[in-house]
Parts: sequence; structure tokens; C-alpha cells
Amino acid sequence: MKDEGAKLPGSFRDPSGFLFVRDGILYRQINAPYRPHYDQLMGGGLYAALTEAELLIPHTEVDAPPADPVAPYKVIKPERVPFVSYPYEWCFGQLKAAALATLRIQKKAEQFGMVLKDASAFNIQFVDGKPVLVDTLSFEKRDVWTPWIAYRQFCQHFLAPLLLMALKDFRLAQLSRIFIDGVPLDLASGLLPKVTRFRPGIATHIHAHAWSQRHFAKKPVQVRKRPISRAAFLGLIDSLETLVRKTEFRLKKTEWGGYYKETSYSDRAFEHKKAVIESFLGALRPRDVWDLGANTGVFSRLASRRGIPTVAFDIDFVAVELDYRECLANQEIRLLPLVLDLANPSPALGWAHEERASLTARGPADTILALALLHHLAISNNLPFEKIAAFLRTICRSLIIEFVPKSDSQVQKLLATREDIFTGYTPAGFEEAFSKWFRIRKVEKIGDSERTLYLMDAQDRAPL
Amino acid sequence: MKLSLPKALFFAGLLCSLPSAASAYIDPGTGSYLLQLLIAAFVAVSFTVKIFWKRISKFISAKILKKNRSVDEG
Repeated sequence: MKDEGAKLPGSFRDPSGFLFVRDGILYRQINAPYRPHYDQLMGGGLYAALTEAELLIPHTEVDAPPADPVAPYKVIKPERVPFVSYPYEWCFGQLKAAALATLRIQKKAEQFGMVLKDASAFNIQFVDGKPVLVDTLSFEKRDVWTPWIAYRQFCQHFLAPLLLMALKDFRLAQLSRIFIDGVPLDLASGLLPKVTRFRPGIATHIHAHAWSQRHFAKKPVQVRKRPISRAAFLGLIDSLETLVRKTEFRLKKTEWGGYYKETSYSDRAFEHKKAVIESFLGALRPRDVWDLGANTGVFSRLASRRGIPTVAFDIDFVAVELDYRECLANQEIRLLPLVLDLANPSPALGWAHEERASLTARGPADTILALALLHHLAISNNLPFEKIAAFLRTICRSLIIEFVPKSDSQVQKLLATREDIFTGYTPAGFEEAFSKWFRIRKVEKIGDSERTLYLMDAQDRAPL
Repeated sequence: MKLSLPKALFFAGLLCSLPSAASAYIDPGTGSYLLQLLIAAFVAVSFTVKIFWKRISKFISAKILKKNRSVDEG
């Protein structure tokens, strides 16, 4: 960490407190103005209820000195999230689970006289496969004269993208990457099918909501304050929860969704590939693994089932959805499937490029799996081997990579409709380029196929 | 401007519930705030009915279950 003790990017907007790292340990400073709310959270029983339900990240109060001496109240040490992911990297099921967790937290908070003051999807992280609120300072005492202040944020961060993915096109999930404070409701209203105007939940929370925002923007209005009854408060949450629950993503077969069923591998080659990866993982014993181009996570599970925290990235939204559903079905807590286009990975976003970390900044991973990936990068995306090797070197310490030769049917498919300009796409060209950045430790041919698996260690120094 | 059914209902409700006096400029959050005030009564009623209905159906199904059990045992 380059700036020890400084406020961590991403938490500097909240005057209630902020995160900081000292000696490699993550802390959160709570400022004096937030004291009444924090005391109610801890003393009133809400913290215990939420942590017991695994809905809030647990923390311990510590004696560590505050990072900012102006008005500190307490310093707490929250449990660390194994891998920080963002809503634009989640599949539909993950965003829906995060939305429902947020509403469960809100209902629980109401029972203890508190309320969520924000409903940002960025405040939810997946820990052991479950969506957990990581912002301990998100609660405040409920004021009966105030409606739910985070209602708009919930609709923008959760409801709008979920509905767009389910009812229009799943690729609209990427809107969350452009609009960091959630999808604008007028945009969602315009994009959703016209028929949704006759569905009461969507008509209210999206269409009428967008119209209300537009109509009253910059218009002088005097609001007559009136108390919000408990039934009205819970009714709003119940209405949102019903709508989220009813919103389903129906799977369609996409380019890669049925990949493993349609693969050109023989059963023997498939089993041998698994055995070689197992032996490489056994030799490496990595602390964590990123599987790039993981598809539905068949090979990611070779790592996660060893208890290794594993992130399974794939560009295909449907493959990630299937992977997530399998994780849920098998209660796999060590595997986190995420959507990622490796040719355009998640960048640093937000104020001063600091609020949301790039993929690179969240690494390096101990080990990367890059299986049946190279030909997509080198041939479909025209990326030179050396560029691929240099990037992979920045995000891992060791690499298990598969070389798929031109004669393979999958590569032939990629070359079928284009001129073969890839003269350097040979085992020798691959080994030469990667040797500049990695030391090749093991090479294993996959039986009954033309493919080869390599185990490589990152070189300490970049080539001159 | 074309008004769809939800917009018309919303606008009618809003006209009934808000005073006309002016005092402040408002950001997009105010539209959300006003919408919540408007739908508060509707969601309160529907939520209360839902809870009430759930309790009734639970009570009835418990009764039927009990009756069936006593018939089986008898």
C-alpha cells in the first residue's frame, strides 16, 4: 500500500467514517458525529442479529490510533473480503441475491429502530458465496418523518439493472459500469418494454419514479411533512422485494453456454487435462487462483474444491450465471464466478480513478489458470503473445496455461472465416514470448489431443 | 405530452396530496421522496391486507390439517 494510514479510495465520501490500512491491516475509523447511530447498532442488538444471519461483515473494536485525529470516535477492524468484486462483474443471480440481501437487512434494521441510509450495490460483497453488507456505517436511527432515503439508490443500483437484464437484454448489466451511481431511471424507463407500464410494481418503482424525478427536477415544491407509518415503510420494502423476487432471468443458449457439452475433446483428453491441472495445483499449492476464461467453472472447481479461494472469470454472461447457480446448488463457498472481458478488463473508476479498483489493482493472484484461452486472445483479438505474457505477468505469480495449436478444431473454427495472418502462432513462438516474462517449469502434452499444458513461474524482473 | 395510465394516476394523486406553495429548488432525489409520500398509503394498505390474509390462510390451513389428522386417527 503506497499511502499507509490514508483513507482508502471508495470510502472518502462518507463523513461518518472511512477505511484505512496500517501495517497491512484494514481498519475503519468511526467519526464522532456517527456515534449515536453506531452505539444503537451495537447496543440495540442489530449488529448481533445481522452478523448472526451472515448479512453484515463482522468487526472487532480495537485500540489502534485513528488515521484522522479530527473527531474520531472509534476504530474497528472489519473482517477482510477475500476478493472485492463489483456489480458490473456480477451475473443476474448475484445482483438479485445482493438486492434481496439489502432488503432483508433493511427489514431487520427496522425491527431495531434503524434504517439503511444508503443502498449502494457497491456496499455488498460476496463472502463465502453469500452477499454481505460491508459498510458498517450504513445504518442510522429511523426518523418516522422521513421516507426511506435510499429508495432512489436501491431502484438505480438494483431494480433498474435487474429488470433491464431480465426483460430487455442481459448485456445492459454493463450500464452499471458507466453509471457508477446506478442506472438513471429515465433511461431504464425508456429502455424497458412498453408493456411493463401495465405491471404495477414496475410502473410505480421505475416508470412513475422516473417521471416524478423528471417532473420535479428544478421545480420549486414545498413538501408537507407527514409521518411514515410502519405499515407504509414495510409496505414499500415488501413491494420492492416482491418485484425483485418475481424478476427472473431466463437462460438462452449463447456462443459458449454449451461449450463443455459441445467440445471437441475426447473423454480421455478431458480427464487427462484435469489430472495434469490437479498435479500442477498440487505442486504450486497457491493461496488463491483466478481462472481466466473459466466458462461454467469445470476447471475452476479443481482449485476451489481443494479449499483454495478461486475467482472464475468469463466473458459469457450466461456461462457465469450457470456457474453461479451451480455454486448455489452445491453450496460452494470457495468459488466466485464473475463476468469479465479480458480484452477490456474492469478499469479503475470513480473520482480520480480511485473509487473502484481495476482488475490489476486487485491482484496479483497467486496462480492463474488460462485454459483454452490463448487462441481467443491471440487469434480472435489479434493480441501478440508477448502482450498477453506481459499482462498475465502483472496479475499473477504463477501460471497454468494451455497452448492450443492451429490444427485444433477450435482454432480452425476461428480461422475459418478469416485470413491466417498468425505466422508466429506456433509452440516455439509461444514459448519464446512467454519465456521473457515467465520461467517454464513443466510442460505436459494432453493425451489424445494436440494441446499442451504449461506450468510457469513469473520472472522476478521484466525483460529489458 | 402523452400521459400513460400510471403517470395519470400518479399525477392525480400528487395533485391531491401536495400543497401548491413554493419554497425550494429540488434535485432528482425529491422526485423519489415525493413518490414515496404518494405511494405510502397504497403500500401500507396492500401490506396490511397481505399480512392479514397470510394470517387467515395460515389459521385455516392449520384448522384443516388438524381436522384431517383427527379424521385419519379416528
